[in-house]
Amino acid sequence: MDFFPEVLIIAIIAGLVSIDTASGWQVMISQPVVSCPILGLIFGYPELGLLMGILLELPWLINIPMGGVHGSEGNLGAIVAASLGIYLKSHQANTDNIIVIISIMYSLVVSRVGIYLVDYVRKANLMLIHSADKAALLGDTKRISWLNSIGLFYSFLMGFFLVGIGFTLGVIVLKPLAAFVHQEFNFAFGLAKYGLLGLGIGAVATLFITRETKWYAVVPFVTGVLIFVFISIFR
Amino acid sequence: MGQIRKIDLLKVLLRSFYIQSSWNFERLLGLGFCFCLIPIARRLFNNQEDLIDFLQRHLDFFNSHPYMATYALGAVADIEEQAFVKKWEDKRPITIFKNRVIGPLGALGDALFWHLIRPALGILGIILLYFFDIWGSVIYLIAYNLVHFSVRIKGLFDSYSKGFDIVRDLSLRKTQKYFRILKYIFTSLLAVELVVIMNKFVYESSSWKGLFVFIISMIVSFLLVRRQKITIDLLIVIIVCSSIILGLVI
Repeated sequence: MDFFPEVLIIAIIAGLVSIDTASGWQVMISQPVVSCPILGLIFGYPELGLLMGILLELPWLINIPMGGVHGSEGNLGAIVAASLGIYLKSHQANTDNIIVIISIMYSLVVSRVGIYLVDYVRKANLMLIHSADKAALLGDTKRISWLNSIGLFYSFLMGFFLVGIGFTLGVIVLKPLAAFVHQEFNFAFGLAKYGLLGLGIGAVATLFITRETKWYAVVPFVTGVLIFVFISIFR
Repeated sequence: MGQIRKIDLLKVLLRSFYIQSSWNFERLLGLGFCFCLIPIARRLFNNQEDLIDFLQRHLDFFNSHPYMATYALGAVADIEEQAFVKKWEDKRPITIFKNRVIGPLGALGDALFWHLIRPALGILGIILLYFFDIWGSVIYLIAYNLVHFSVRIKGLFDSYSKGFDIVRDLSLRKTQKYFRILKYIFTSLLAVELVVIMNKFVYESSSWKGLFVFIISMIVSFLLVRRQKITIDLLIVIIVCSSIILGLVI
Protein backbone atom coordinates (compact mmCIF):
# COMPACT_ATOMS: atom_id res chain seq x y z
CA MET A 1 0.00 0.00 0.00
CA ASP A 2 1.15 3.56 -0.75
CA PHE A 3 2.22 5.70 2.18
CA PHE A 4 -0.57 8.32 2.14
CA PRO A 5 -3.54 5.93 1.90
CA GLU A 6 -1.89 4.00 4.76
CA VAL A 7 -1.60 7.17 6.88
CA LEU A 8 -5.20 8.04 6.08
CA ILE A 9 -6.52 4.64 7.18
CA ILE A 10 -4.44 4.74 10.38
CA ALA A 11 -5.61 8.29 11.16
CA ILE A 12 -9.29 7.40 10.61
CA ILE A 13 -8.94 4.40 12.93
CA ALA A 14 -7.25 6.69 15.45
CA GLY A 15 -10.13 9.17 15.19
CA LEU A 16 -12.60 6.40 16.00
CA VAL A 17 -10.39 5.20 18.85
CA SER A 18 -10.25 8.75 20.19
CA ILE A 19 -14.06 8.92 20.20
CA ASP A 20 -14.40 5.55 21.89
CA THR A 21 -11.82 6.42 24.53
CA ALA A 22 -13.74 9.28 26.10
CA SER A 23 -16.37 10.91 23.91
CA GLY A 24 -18.79 8.32 22.65
CA TRP A 25 -19.80 4.65 22.71
CA GLN A 26 -17.03 3.52 25.09
CA VAL A 27 -17.55 -0.05 23.94
CA MET A 28 -13.78 -0.63 24.30
CA ILE A 29 -12.86 -0.93 20.64
CA SER A 30 -10.28 1.66 21.70
CA GLN A 31 -8.42 -0.79 23.93
CA PRO A 32 -5.10 -1.97 22.46
CA VAL A 33 -6.25 -5.56 22.91
CA VAL A 34 -8.83 -4.84 20.18
CA SER A 35 -7.40 -1.99 18.09
CA CYS A 36 -3.86 -3.36 17.60
CA PRO A 37 -4.94 -6.80 16.29
CA ILE A 38 -7.38 -5.04 13.93
CA LEU A 39 -4.54 -2.86 12.58
CA GLY A 40 -2.37 -5.95 12.20
CA LEU A 41 -5.13 -7.68 10.29
CA ILE A 42 -5.76 -4.70 7.98
CA PHE A 43 -2.10 -4.28 7.04
CA GLY A 44 -1.28 -7.96 6.76
CA TYR A 45 0.76 -8.48 9.93
CA PRO A 46 -1.74 -10.06 12.35
CA GLU A 47 0.94 -11.56 14.63
CA LEU A 48 2.62 -8.19 15.18
CA GLY A 49 -0.78 -6.62 15.90
CA LEU A 50 -1.50 -9.32 18.47
CA LEU A 51 1.88 -8.82 20.14
CA MET A 52 1.38 -5.05 20.37
CA GLY A 53 -2.10 -5.59 21.82
CA ILE A 54 -0.72 -7.96 24.43
CA LEU A 55 2.12 -5.63 25.45
CA LEU A 56 0.17 -2.37 25.48
CA GLU A 57 -3.20 -3.35 26.92
CA LEU A 58 -2.30 -3.25 30.59
CA PRO A 59 0.12 -0.39 31.38
CA TRP A 60 -2.35 2.47 30.85
CA LEU A 61 -5.33 0.77 32.52
CA ILE A 62 -4.35 2.30 35.84
CA ASN A 63 -4.85 5.81 34.44
CA ILE A 64 -8.41 6.08 35.67
CA PRO A 65 -10.34 9.11 34.37
CA MET A 66 -12.01 10.93 37.25
CA GLY A 67 -13.69 14.26 36.65
CA GLY A 68 -11.24 16.44 34.75
CA VAL A 69 -8.20 14.34 35.63
CA HIS A 70 -6.88 12.06 32.91
CA GLY A 71 -3.60 10.38 32.10
CA SER A 72 -1.66 10.10 28.87
CA GLU A 73 -3.52 8.93 25.78
CA GLY A 74 -2.33 5.33 25.87
CA ASN A 75 -4.94 4.07 23.42
CA LEU A 76 -3.76 6.49 20.73
CA GLY A 77 -0.15 5.75 21.65
CA ALA A 78 -0.87 2.06 21.07
CA ILE A 79 -2.22 2.84 17.58
CA VAL A 80 0.99 4.71 16.75
CA ALA A 81 3.15 1.91 18.16
CA ALA A 82 1.31 -0.82 16.26
CA SER A 83 1.22 1.13 12.97
CA LEU A 84 4.88 2.06 13.19
CA GLY A 85 5.85 -1.49 14.08
CA ILE A 86 3.94 -2.79 11.07
CA TYR A 87 5.40 -0.12 8.76
CA LEU A 88 8.98 -0.75 9.90
CA LYS A 89 8.54 -4.50 9.63
CA SER A 90 7.08 -4.24 6.14
CA HIS A 91 10.12 -2.15 5.17
CA GLN A 92 12.46 -4.59 6.90
CA ALA A 93 13.96 -1.83 9.00
CA ASN A 94 15.38 -4.24 11.56
CA THR A 95 14.61 -7.37 13.58
CA ASP A 96 11.14 -7.76 15.14
CA ASN A 97 12.20 -7.13 18.75
CA ILE A 98 14.07 -3.93 17.94
CA ILE A 99 11.19 -2.62 15.83
CA VAL A 100 8.59 -3.37 18.51
CA ILE A 101 10.48 -1.71 21.37
CA ILE A 102 11.53 1.36 19.38
CA SER A 103 7.94 1.87 18.20
CA ILE A 104 6.59 1.55 21.74
CA MET A 105 9.13 4.02 23.13
CA TYR A 106 8.24 6.55 20.43
CA SER A 107 4.52 6.07 21.11
CA LEU A 108 5.06 7.30 24.68
CA VAL A 109 5.88 10.74 23.31
CA VAL A 110 2.70 10.78 21.23
CA SER A 111 0.56 9.67 24.16
CA ARG A 112 2.06 12.48 26.31
CA VAL A 113 1.22 15.06 23.64
CA GLY A 114 -2.32 13.63 23.76
CA ILE A 115 -2.76 14.90 27.34
CA TYR A 116 -2.51 18.51 26.18
CA LEU A 117 -4.69 17.96 23.13
CA VAL A 118 -7.48 16.44 25.23
CA ASP A 119 -7.40 19.50 27.49
CA TYR A 120 -7.51 21.70 24.42
CA VAL A 121 -10.56 19.85 23.07
CA ARG A 122 -12.30 20.21 26.42
CA LYS A 123 -11.64 23.93 26.37
CA ALA A 124 -13.01 24.09 22.82
CA ASN A 125 -16.14 22.33 24.11
CA LEU A 126 -16.75 25.34 26.37
CA MET A 127 -17.80 27.30 23.28
CA LEU A 128 -20.32 24.56 22.50
CA ILE A 129 -22.00 24.77 25.90
CA HIS A 130 -22.25 28.56 25.62
CA SER A 131 -23.80 28.22 22.15
CA ALA A 132 -26.16 25.61 23.61
CA ASP A 133 -27.29 28.15 26.22
CA LYS A 134 -28.31 30.47 23.38
CA ALA A 135 -30.05 27.63 21.53
CA ALA A 136 -31.96 26.73 24.72
CA LEU A 137 -33.31 30.28 24.93
CA LEU A 138 -34.86 29.73 21.49
CA GLY A 139 -36.05 26.21 22.37
CA ASP A 140 -33.93 24.89 19.48
CA THR A 141 -33.44 21.19 20.29
CA LYS A 142 -31.95 20.40 16.87
CA ARG A 143 -29.15 22.89 17.41
CA ILE A 144 -28.39 21.44 20.84
CA SER A 145 -28.11 17.96 19.29
CA TRP A 146 -25.89 19.38 16.55
CA LEU A 147 -23.61 21.10 19.09
CA ASN A 148 -23.18 17.86 21.01
CA SER A 149 -22.21 16.11 17.77
CA ILE A 150 -19.58 18.77 17.11
CA GLY A 151 -17.93 17.75 20.40
CA LEU A 152 -17.73 14.23 19.02
CA PHE A 153 -16.18 15.55 15.83
CA TYR A 154 -13.53 17.51 17.78
CA SER A 155 -12.56 14.31 19.50
CA PHE A 156 -12.29 12.52 16.15
CA LEU A 157 -10.11 15.31 14.76
CA MET A 158 -7.84 15.18 17.80
CA GLY A 159 -7.15 11.46 17.30
CA PHE A 160 -6.94 11.84 13.52
CA PHE A 161 -4.28 14.55 13.57
CA LEU A 162 -2.34 13.37 16.61
CA VAL A 163 -1.84 9.89 15.18
CA GLY A 164 -1.62 10.97 11.54
CA ILE A 165 1.17 13.44 12.28
CA GLY A 166 2.70 11.28 15.01
CA PHE A 167 2.91 8.29 12.68
CA THR A 168 4.35 10.32 9.78
CA LEU A 169 7.02 11.89 11.99
CA GLY A 170 7.70 8.47 13.49
CA VAL A 171 8.36 7.01 10.05
CA ILE A 172 10.74 9.88 9.22
CA VAL A 173 12.65 9.59 12.51
CA LEU A 174 12.51 5.88 13.31
CA LYS A 175 13.18 4.32 9.92
CA PRO A 176 16.85 5.39 9.87
CA LEU A 177 17.12 5.04 13.65
CA ALA A 178 15.85 1.44 13.63
CA ALA A 179 18.35 0.57 10.91
CA PHE A 180 21.09 2.12 13.01
CA VAL A 181 20.60 -0.32 15.92
CA HIS A 182 22.80 -3.37 15.44
CA GLN A 183 20.96 -6.66 15.07
CA GLU A 184 23.10 -8.16 17.82
CA PHE A 185 20.92 -6.22 20.24
CA ASN A 186 17.88 -8.21 19.20
CA PHE A 187 18.02 -10.45 22.29
CA ALA A 188 18.35 -7.49 24.67
CA PHE A 189 15.37 -5.73 23.07
CA GLY A 190 13.46 -9.02 23.27
CA LEU A 191 13.89 -9.04 27.04
CA ALA A 192 12.22 -5.62 27.19
CA LYS A 193 9.02 -7.28 25.92
CA TYR A 194 8.97 -9.52 28.99
CA GLY A 195 9.68 -6.45 31.13
CA LEU A 196 6.74 -4.58 29.59
CA LEU A 197 4.36 -7.46 30.17
CA GLY A 198 5.51 -7.77 33.78
CA LEU A 199 5.08 -4.02 34.21
CA GLY A 200 1.50 -4.17 32.94
CA ILE A 201 0.51 -7.01 35.23
CA GLY A 202 2.30 -5.48 38.22
CA ALA A 203 0.57 -2.12 37.64
CA VAL A 204 -2.90 -3.63 37.21
CA ALA A 205 -2.36 -5.86 40.26
CA THR A 206 -2.30 -2.69 42.40
CA LEU A 207 -6.01 -2.30 41.65
CA PHE A 208 -6.77 -5.73 43.10
CA ILE A 209 -4.17 -6.80 45.62
CA THR A 210 -4.48 -5.19 49.04
CA ARG A 211 -3.86 -6.49 52.55
CA GLU A 212 -7.44 -7.67 52.59
CA THR A 213 -7.25 -9.60 49.31
CA LYS A 214 -3.64 -10.81 49.32
CA TRP A 215 -4.52 -14.42 50.20
CA TYR A 216 -7.01 -14.55 47.36
CA ALA A 217 -4.03 -13.91 45.07
CA VAL A 218 -1.37 -15.99 46.82
CA VAL A 219 -3.33 -19.25 47.19
CA PRO A 220 -4.48 -19.59 43.53
CA PHE A 221 -1.06 -18.44 42.31
CA VAL A 222 0.90 -20.99 44.34
CA THR A 223 -1.62 -23.72 43.48
CA GLY A 224 -1.36 -22.83 39.78
CA VAL A 225 2.44 -22.84 39.80
CA LEU A 226 2.51 -26.21 41.60
CA ILE A 227 0.08 -27.67 39.06
CA PHE A 228 2.24 -26.52 36.15
CA VAL A 229 5.43 -27.78 37.79
CA PHE A 230 3.71 -31.10 38.46
CA ILE A 231 2.47 -31.35 34.87
CA SER A 232 5.87 -30.42 33.39
CA ILE A 233 7.67 -33.03 35.55
CA PHE A 234 5.36 -35.83 34.47
CA ARG A 235 4.99 -34.72 30.84
CA MET B 1 -48.59 16.04 24.07
CA GLY B 2 -48.69 12.85 26.03
CA GLN B 3 -46.86 10.56 28.36
CA ILE B 4 -43.42 9.11 27.73
CA ARG B 5 -43.41 5.97 25.58
CA LYS B 6 -40.96 3.10 25.36
CA ILE B 7 -39.64 4.41 22.06
CA ASP B 8 -38.67 7.67 23.78
CA LEU B 9 -36.72 5.77 26.40
CA LEU B 10 -34.99 3.77 23.66
CA LYS B 11 -33.98 7.03 21.99
CA VAL B 12 -32.63 8.27 25.33
CA LEU B 13 -30.69 5.00 25.65
CA LEU B 14 -29.10 5.42 22.21
CA ARG B 15 -28.26 9.04 22.92
CA SER B 16 -26.71 8.07 26.26
CA PHE B 17 -23.77 6.62 24.30
CA TYR B 18 -22.90 10.22 23.40
CA ILE B 19 -23.34 11.79 26.82
CA GLN B 20 -19.62 12.60 27.08
CA SER B 21 -19.26 14.03 23.56
CA SER B 22 -19.04 17.64 24.66
CA TRP B 23 -17.36 17.19 28.06
CA ASN B 24 -16.08 20.58 29.23
CA PHE B 25 -14.44 22.10 32.26
CA GLU B 26 -17.42 24.30 33.17
CA ARG B 27 -20.42 21.98 33.32
CA LEU B 28 -18.80 18.61 32.56
CA LEU B 29 -21.61 16.43 31.13
CA GLY B 30 -24.18 19.25 31.12
CA LEU B 31 -24.67 19.50 27.36
CA GLY B 32 -24.56 15.71 26.89
CA PHE B 33 -27.22 15.23 29.58
CA CYS B 34 -29.54 17.74 27.93
CA PHE B 35 -28.88 16.13 24.52
CA CYS B 36 -29.91 12.72 25.88
CA LEU B 37 -33.19 14.06 27.28
CA ILE B 38 -34.33 15.81 24.11
CA PRO B 39 -36.70 12.93 23.09
CA ILE B 40 -38.42 13.35 26.47
CA ALA B 41 -38.72 17.12 25.97
CA ARG B 42 -40.19 16.61 22.50
CA ARG B 43 -42.75 14.16 23.89
CA LEU B 44 -43.81 16.20 26.91
CA PHE B 45 -43.77 19.83 25.89
CA ASN B 46 -45.80 21.56 23.25
CA ASN B 47 -45.46 24.88 24.97
CA GLN B 48 -42.30 26.78 23.95
CA GLU B 49 -41.91 28.31 27.41
CA ASP B 50 -41.92 24.91 29.14
CA LEU B 51 -39.48 23.57 26.56
CA ILE B 52 -37.05 26.45 27.13
CA ASP B 53 -37.35 25.99 30.87
CA PHE B 54 -36.62 22.24 30.45
CA LEU B 55 -33.57 22.79 28.23
CA GLN B 56 -32.08 25.42 30.52
CA ARG B 57 -32.60 23.19 33.55
CA HIS B 58 -30.76 20.28 31.99
CA LEU B 59 -27.91 22.22 30.44
CA ASP B 60 -26.72 22.87 33.95
CA PHE B 61 -23.76 21.14 35.63
CA PHE B 62 -23.91 17.36 35.70
CA ASN B 63 -21.38 14.62 36.13
CA SER B 64 -21.49 10.84 36.33
CA HIS B 65 -19.74 7.72 35.19
CA PRO B 66 -20.84 7.45 31.52
CA TYR B 67 -22.39 3.99 31.87
CA MET B 68 -24.22 4.85 35.08
CA ALA B 69 -25.65 8.09 33.69
CA THR B 70 -28.71 6.18 32.46
CA TYR B 71 -29.78 5.85 36.11
CA ALA B 72 -30.05 9.62 36.29
CA LEU B 73 -31.59 9.92 32.80
CA GLY B 74 -34.37 7.40 33.50
CA ALA B 75 -35.20 8.89 36.88
CA VAL B 76 -35.22 12.45 35.54
CA ALA B 77 -37.49 11.34 32.67
CA ASP B 78 -39.92 9.94 35.22
CA ILE B 79 -39.75 13.01 37.46
CA GLU B 80 -40.20 15.39 34.52
CA GLU B 81 -43.23 13.37 33.47
CA GLN B 82 -44.69 13.60 36.96
CA ALA B 83 -44.00 17.33 37.05
CA PHE B 84 -45.75 17.72 33.69
CA VAL B 85 -48.79 15.59 34.55
CA LYS B 86 -49.25 17.03 38.05
CA LYS B 87 -48.37 20.55 36.87
CA TRP B 88 -45.70 21.28 39.46
CA GLU B 89 -45.16 24.96 40.14
CA ASP B 90 -41.68 24.48 41.53
CA LYS B 91 -39.21 22.38 39.51
CA ARG B 92 -36.31 22.73 41.94
CA PRO B 93 -36.65 19.11 43.22
CA ILE B 94 -35.49 17.92 39.78
CA THR B 95 -32.25 19.89 40.01
CA ILE B 96 -31.77 18.84 43.62
CA PHE B 97 -32.25 15.20 42.60
CA LYS B 98 -29.64 15.53 39.83
CA ASN B 99 -27.11 17.04 42.21
CA ARG B 100 -27.90 14.35 44.76
CA VAL B 101 -27.02 11.46 42.40
CA ILE B 102 -23.81 12.89 40.93
CA GLY B 103 -21.60 11.52 43.73
CA PRO B 104 -23.04 7.98 43.95
CA LEU B 105 -23.17 7.48 40.16
CA GLY B 106 -19.53 8.50 39.77
CA ALA B 107 -18.34 6.46 42.73
CA LEU B 108 -20.28 3.31 41.77
CA GLY B 109 -19.28 3.44 38.11
CA ASP B 110 -15.61 4.07 38.82
CA ALA B 111 -15.46 1.33 41.44
CA LEU B 112 -17.28 -1.22 39.30
CA PHE B 113 -15.96 -0.53 35.80
CA TRP B 114 -12.66 1.33 35.94
CA HIS B 115 -11.32 -0.39 39.06
CA LEU B 116 -12.70 -3.91 38.60
CA ILE B 117 -14.22 -5.03 35.32
CA ARG B 118 -12.01 -3.22 32.78
CA PRO B 119 -8.65 -4.26 34.29
CA ALA B 120 -9.83 -7.81 35.02
CA LEU B 121 -11.10 -8.23 31.47
CA GLY B 122 -7.96 -6.51 30.14
CA ILE B 123 -5.83 -9.29 31.56
CA LEU B 124 -8.33 -11.87 30.39
CA GLY B 125 -8.20 -10.25 26.93
CA ILE B 126 -4.47 -10.85 26.74
CA ILE B 127 -4.94 -14.54 27.49
CA LEU B 128 -7.77 -14.72 24.97
CA LEU B 129 -5.43 -13.28 22.31
CA TYR B 130 -2.89 -16.01 23.08
CA PHE B 131 -5.43 -18.77 22.70
CA PHE B 132 -7.81 -17.48 20.04
CA ASP B 133 -5.80 -14.84 18.10
CA ILE B 134 -8.08 -12.10 16.70
CA TRP B 135 -11.14 -13.98 17.99
CA GLY B 136 -9.83 -13.22 21.46
CA SER B 137 -10.59 -9.54 20.79
CA VAL B 138 -14.11 -10.43 19.71
CA ILE B 139 -14.71 -12.52 22.85
CA TYR B 140 -13.28 -9.68 24.97
CA LEU B 141 -15.63 -7.15 23.35
CA ILE B 142 -18.67 -9.40 23.81
CA ALA B 143 -17.82 -10.16 27.46
CA TYR B 144 -17.22 -6.51 28.35
CA ASN B 145 -20.23 -5.15 26.54
CA LEU B 146 -22.61 -7.72 27.95
CA VAL B 147 -21.98 -6.11 31.33
CA HIS B 148 -21.78 -2.58 29.92
CA PHE B 149 -25.03 -2.74 27.94
CA SER B 150 -26.93 -4.50 30.69
CA VAL B 151 -25.95 -1.77 33.18
CA ARG B 152 -27.05 0.96 30.76
CA ILE B 153 -30.37 -0.73 29.92
CA LYS B 154 -31.17 -1.78 33.50
CA GLY B 155 -30.21 1.67 34.74
CA LEU B 156 -32.57 3.47 32.38
CA PHE B 157 -35.65 1.29 32.80
CA ASP B 158 -35.22 0.66 36.55
CA SER B 159 -34.77 4.31 37.33
CA TYR B 160 -37.67 5.29 35.06
CA SER B 161 -39.97 2.98 37.02
CA LYS B 162 -38.63 4.12 40.41
CA GLY B 163 -38.15 7.85 39.90
CA PHE B 164 -36.88 9.58 43.05
CA ASP B 165 -36.64 6.22 44.85
CA ILE B 166 -33.71 5.10 42.69
CA VAL B 167 -31.48 7.03 45.11
CA ARG B 168 -31.92 4.19 47.62
CA ASP B 169 -30.43 1.68 45.15
CA LEU B 170 -27.41 3.87 44.49
CA SER B 171 -25.85 3.64 47.91
CA LEU B 172 -22.14 2.78 47.75
CA ARG B 173 -22.38 1.33 51.26
CA LYS B 174 -25.17 -0.98 50.17
CA THR B 175 -23.29 -2.29 47.14
CA GLN B 176 -19.88 -2.45 48.78
CA LYS B 177 -20.25 -6.06 49.92
CA TYR B 178 -20.95 -7.16 46.33
CA PHE B 179 -17.95 -5.19 45.11
CA ARG B 180 -15.83 -6.88 47.76
CA ILE B 181 -16.93 -10.32 46.56
CA LEU B 182 -16.20 -9.28 42.97
CA LYS B 183 -12.77 -8.05 44.05
CA TYR B 184 -11.99 -11.42 45.69
CA ILE B 185 -13.08 -13.25 42.54
CA PHE B 186 -11.10 -10.98 40.22
CA THR B 187 -8.01 -11.14 42.46
CA SER B 188 -8.08 -14.93 42.28
CA LEU B 189 -8.68 -14.73 38.55
CA LEU B 190 -5.68 -12.38 38.22
CA ALA B 191 -3.47 -14.93 40.02
CA VAL B 192 -4.66 -17.75 37.76
CA GLU B 193 -4.18 -15.55 34.68
CA LEU B 194 -0.68 -14.73 35.85
CA VAL B 195 0.20 -18.43 36.03
CA VAL B 196 -1.22 -19.01 32.54
CA ILE B 197 0.73 -16.05 31.11
CA MET B 198 3.95 -17.16 32.78
CA ASN B 199 3.46 -20.65 31.42
CA LYS B 200 2.42 -19.61 27.93
CA PHE B 201 4.64 -16.59 27.37
CA VAL B 202 7.75 -17.44 29.29
CA TYR B 203 7.93 -21.08 30.29
CA GLU B 204 6.92 -22.53 26.91
CA SER B 205 9.50 -20.41 25.10
CA SER B 206 12.14 -21.77 27.55
CA SER B 207 13.48 -18.30 28.29
CA TRP B 208 14.58 -18.25 31.93
CA LYS B 209 16.13 -14.81 31.49
CA GLY B 210 12.79 -13.62 30.18
CA LEU B 211 11.06 -15.13 33.20
CA PHE B 212 13.49 -13.34 35.49
CA VAL B 213 12.94 -9.95 33.80
CA PHE B 214 9.18 -10.53 33.80
CA ILE B 215 9.01 -11.26 37.55
CA ILE B 216 11.37 -8.45 38.58
CA SER B 217 9.47 -5.92 36.41
CA MET B 218 6.19 -7.08 37.87
CA ILE B 219 7.35 -6.70 41.47
CA VAL B 220 9.06 -3.34 40.91
CA SER B 221 6.04 -1.96 39.03
CA PHE B 222 3.63 -3.20 41.70
CA LEU B 223 5.59 -1.51 44.47
CA LEU B 224 6.20 1.78 42.65
CA VAL B 225 2.67 2.16 41.30
CA ARG B 226 1.09 1.27 44.64
CA ARG B 227 3.08 4.00 46.37
CA GLN B 228 2.15 6.40 43.55
CA LYS B 229 5.76 7.47 43.24
CA ILE B 230 5.91 7.44 39.45
CA THR B 231 3.91 7.99 36.27
CA ILE B 232 3.28 4.96 34.12
CA ASP B 233 5.10 6.51 31.13
CA LEU B 234 8.28 7.04 33.12
CA LEU B 235 7.99 3.53 34.52
CA ILE B 236 7.78 2.12 30.98
CA VAL B 237 10.97 3.99 30.02
CA ILE B 238 12.80 2.73 33.13
CA ILE B 239 11.67 -0.89 32.72
CA VAL B 240 12.44 -1.01 28.99
CA CYS B 241 15.88 0.60 29.38
CA SER B 242 16.79 -1.62 32.35
CA SER B 243 15.68 -4.75 30.49
CA ILE B 244 17.80 -3.80 27.46
CA ILE B 245 20.84 -3.05 29.64
CA LEU B 246 20.34 -6.33 31.49
CA GLY B 247 20.08 -8.13 28.16
CA LEU B 248 23.37 -6.60 27.04
CA VAL B 249 25.14 -7.47 30.29
CA ILE B 250 24.02 -11.09 30.82
